[in-house]
Amino acid sequence: MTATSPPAAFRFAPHVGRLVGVPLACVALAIVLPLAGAAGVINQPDIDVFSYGVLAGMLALSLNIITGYAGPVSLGQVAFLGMGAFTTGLVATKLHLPLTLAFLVAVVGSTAVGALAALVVGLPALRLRGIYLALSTFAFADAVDHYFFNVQQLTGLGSGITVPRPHVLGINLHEASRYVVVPLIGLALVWMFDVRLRHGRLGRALVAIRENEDVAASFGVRVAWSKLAAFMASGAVAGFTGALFAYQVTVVNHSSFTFDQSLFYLIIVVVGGLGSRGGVLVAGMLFTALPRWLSFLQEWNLIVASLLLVITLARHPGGLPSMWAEARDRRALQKGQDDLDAVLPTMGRRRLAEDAQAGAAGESGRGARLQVEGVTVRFGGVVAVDGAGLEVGPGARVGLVGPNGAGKSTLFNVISGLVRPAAGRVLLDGVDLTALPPHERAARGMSRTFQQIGLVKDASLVENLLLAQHCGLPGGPAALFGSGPARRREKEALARAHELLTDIGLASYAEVRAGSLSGGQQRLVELACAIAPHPRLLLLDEPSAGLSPAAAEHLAEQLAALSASYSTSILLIEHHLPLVTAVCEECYVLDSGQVLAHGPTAKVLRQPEVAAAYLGETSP
Amino acid sequence: MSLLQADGVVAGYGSHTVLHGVDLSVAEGEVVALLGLNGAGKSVTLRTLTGILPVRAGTVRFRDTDVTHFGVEERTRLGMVAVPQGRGIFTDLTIEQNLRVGGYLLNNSEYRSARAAVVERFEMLGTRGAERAGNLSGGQQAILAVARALLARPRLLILDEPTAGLAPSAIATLLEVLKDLQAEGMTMLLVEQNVGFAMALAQRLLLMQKGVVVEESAPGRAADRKSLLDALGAGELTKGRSTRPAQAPATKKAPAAKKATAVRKAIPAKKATTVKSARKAKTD
Amino acid sequence: MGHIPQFTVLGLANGTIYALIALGLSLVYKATRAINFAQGEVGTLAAFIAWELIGRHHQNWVVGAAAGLAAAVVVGYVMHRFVATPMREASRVSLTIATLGVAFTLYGFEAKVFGASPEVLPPPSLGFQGVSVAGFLLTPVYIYAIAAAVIASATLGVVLRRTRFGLGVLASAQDSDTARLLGVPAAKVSAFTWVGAAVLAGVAGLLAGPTQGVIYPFFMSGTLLFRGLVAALVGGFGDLPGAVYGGLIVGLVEAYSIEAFVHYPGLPEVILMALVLGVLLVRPRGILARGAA
Repeated sequence: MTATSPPAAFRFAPHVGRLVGVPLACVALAIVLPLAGAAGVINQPDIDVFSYGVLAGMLALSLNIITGYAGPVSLGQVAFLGMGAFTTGLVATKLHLPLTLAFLVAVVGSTAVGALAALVVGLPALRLRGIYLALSTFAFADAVDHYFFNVQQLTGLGSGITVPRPHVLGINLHEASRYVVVPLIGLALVWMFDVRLRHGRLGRALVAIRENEDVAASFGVRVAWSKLAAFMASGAVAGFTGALFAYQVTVVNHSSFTFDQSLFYLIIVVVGGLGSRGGVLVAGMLFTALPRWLSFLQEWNLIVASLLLVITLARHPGGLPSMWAEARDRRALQKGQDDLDAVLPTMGRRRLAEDAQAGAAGESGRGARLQVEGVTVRFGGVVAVDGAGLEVGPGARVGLVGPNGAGKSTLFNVISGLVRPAAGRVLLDGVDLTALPPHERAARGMSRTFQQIGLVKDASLVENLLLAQHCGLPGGPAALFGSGPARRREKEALARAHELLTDIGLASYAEVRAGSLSGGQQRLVELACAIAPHPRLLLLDEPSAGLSPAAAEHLAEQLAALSASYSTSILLIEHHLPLVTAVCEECYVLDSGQVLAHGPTAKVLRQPEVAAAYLGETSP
Repeated sequence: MSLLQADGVVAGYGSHTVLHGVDLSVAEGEVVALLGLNGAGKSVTLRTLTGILPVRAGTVRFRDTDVTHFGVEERTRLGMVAVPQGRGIFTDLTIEQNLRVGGYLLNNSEYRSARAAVVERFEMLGTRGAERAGNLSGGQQAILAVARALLARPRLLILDEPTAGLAPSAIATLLEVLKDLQAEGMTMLLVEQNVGFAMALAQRLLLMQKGVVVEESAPGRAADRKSLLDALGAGELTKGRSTRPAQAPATKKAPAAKKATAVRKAIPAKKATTVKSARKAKTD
Repeated sequence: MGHIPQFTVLGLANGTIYALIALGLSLVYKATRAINFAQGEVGTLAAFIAWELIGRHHQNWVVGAAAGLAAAVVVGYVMHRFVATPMREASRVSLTIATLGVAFTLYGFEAKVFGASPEVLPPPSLGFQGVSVAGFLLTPVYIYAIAAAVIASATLGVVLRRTRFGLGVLASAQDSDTARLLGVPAAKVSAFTWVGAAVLAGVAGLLAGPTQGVIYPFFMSGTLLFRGLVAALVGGFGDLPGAVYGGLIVGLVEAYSIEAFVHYPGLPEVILMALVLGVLLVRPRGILARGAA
């Protein structure tokens, strides 16, 4: 069976429901509510509150984009809402435009302002992670809270800007039952944007970044740009919501956007479930609209939400979504759980060869030549690598061994771009890569594995394999909005992902989160990810770590078959010497950061000085 | 008399059950090794024995006391001391501070004498005491971990994959250290992926599969060894190098001196010669 | 610009309060690597309980303060037992968010029980007006604050470095499972951390209340918590002496910017934000970085 059409389970159709379910509901409500309001069936104030709830839901979704998908905790989301609202206020009062145009300009302008502000807030994300990044958003939010909204000069108006409800296309949207259409349409648009974002190339990249940036970079993800894109998307949605919010409340002043509200939205998003679109929407609507509707609930919403938050986190630190995900995975894993270890030795070689032939047909001898020259790496006062050099010829299989602390993984990190050397060069097919970041090297055909298993544990096997093909897929707005060529490429990538999974016998676990599999299974998936983008150089960092001897043997077979039929160049770090002997024709020995010996594997391992330094015993 | 006795232990994470009724016992003075494929439940077993992971069913008895529901610190106080996976060195503290935490349960004067004994055994720890523990190499950290555990006055020393991530020379040194302890009567339970190491050290080997102990063997008997290696799927590949340490002590003649030199270069351990002669007496 | 000496003293005096907050933040960070967003609000609660007794039931300051601190201890213990301990295995971001939840729970509780309107918490008295330093009158509340900061940091320093228990706390902070395996009592270490932080928060709240003029729900968690965070960051999260230095530095920066930009009331905040970003981007371990974060 060659690579053509994926089985039915993998076609796009089932995902349509996820995309249009809520938007359709919004459209339905947008028709029903105005009629019900006009007929007096539902009160105007009640519709008003509902409208407000929809907007809160949208803001929660915007926070979910950055904190739920990408990871950085944003402690100042309401600031973007406020900036959008103020922009709309300014457009409404300072620019005297015809009404419909004013509305459009305000909305677009607010969206842009939100995006730009978020970009500024996100810039520190290029250097900061985790708690520190959250702190920078906190600082920004506090500054905005105090300074911008307090500066009356900016608005030139007293205690607030009046923003009358818009007239669009001649229709006066003054009444609540009429205006409610606007937030509903807004929610529909935001929802669809969110779905396309999350389940496309950027969304996968964000999930990977959230878990492990180094692994993401090794897959070719441009980490900095992706984070900024996430911030901008989040800010754009918040700004957009701000515009609609301004029209909703009709008077924009500072007290609507205080800092503690930002923190409260964070609580909402976590309670709703980080990364869970539907949960976040519902939580956002409930916790903001209900207290407005039932005044006795005011202040209780704080207590209830906070207690829920603490209880959820305390009992299930991963949050609700991970609870559901784990349960789902367990069900998937129950079937076919047994004896995967026993199944290992019999599969793969046949498929790999076929697959390689299909790929290698027009591209024989595609293994790259790697040259490492005089690399020195210093960490503080410690010299980790001292003038080391090696070469991997096209299609060659070379081992790298040495005692603990010899600098092998550091050298790998230099080759793959995670570490900058103090001196030396790395060349791939004669091109100097030394200054290039990891994702650029991935784009040039370099693929690597990690000692601690370089997979995105929170993502499914399929997502991991799609991520591995990140470089080959088109990104940007075109992909986001589903252009023809982009969609075709995604389908092809999906097909290849499925093949590789079948190859390693894990096809039935395609949607299972990688973290739910055993160590040996994860290693296999990692290997599949490494070969998915048709790499020309494969760097393997202790692939047998954590594997049983049987699985290590099987790995040796896979690697030998792989490079034999694929002519990918391989550089392999290993402690498990039988594996090195079985797979690599030649071998370098590294000790204390320097190359101690080099040559045919068996011969090198028997040299007395190598034995003394590394093996700690004399030859038999 | 069994020092440690586990019966029908069931444990797991969330609703995922990993141990399905583990039975094992360790007698005083014994060294027992727990082997098995990935995912068999070896480390989880250790975590339940030490108390880090709660038990869902079954019992654990230590020194004739039912410790099934005891906390971790209580078991330590009774003499069950574990060196966790990865060795658990407090990298930002100094070697001296690491040792003091090892002797946490001792008051200052008790600690002083205990520490003196440990430093005599492992010279390096005394001379480099003020250094940051994170600066030590893998092998040196392994020694520190054992020294630290000794300060906790173990009756049973539990080791979770002590050779993980160590280069062969460091493994050899560690093997010597543990063999010395064994010769002094220390009871040990270890989990290992390095089959050769386990066979060189342990008197009894327990094979785990899918959360239960399925087979028991003694490394001295050739038939047992072969069936164990086959069960682990080791095949021809691993019968070469990794079992070498098992043969090294038995065939000690001239190479002994050279080996001792290589070992001393790696980590200066005092009394290399006296230890060697002690072991020679044992293996006869 | 001629008021530099007075503003210096004012800045340092306010700085001691920020130092108290920062000490609590650093203590929790050291143990859990998470940021305790309830560090401010526990202080608000203490202040309100003190106000309830002093303002409404006419008790003297000591009784009110004792009650406030007792409440702080209770909250600290609850956080140890019902938040931190179950979340032992959770990520530090999750724990940080959980502390945010605690802060909001307290906020909601205060608003419901004490009402949302501002109240006045009277300052403690020492029998005299105060001490004049460089033209600035250090009122008793500031004298108490200085004393508290000194006592707190000295005590923590001694406990953590000179006692066996303190070493256990440090070890636990790095690897709590291994520390337990060696006999370090995990529960006591956790209780020490969270109750200690809560007491520091309580003291800060009782002293900041009078200096702020009025107290209202969440008053400690806005501006003041922010300054405490900046202070902890500047000194290096987890570095306890650094927390004190950081507090003083932040107090000075704030005082000078208020003086310099009298006509732009929000600007000091922006300057503090710039300070935060500067430290985060250039020396995230703190300006006075000494050890590992």
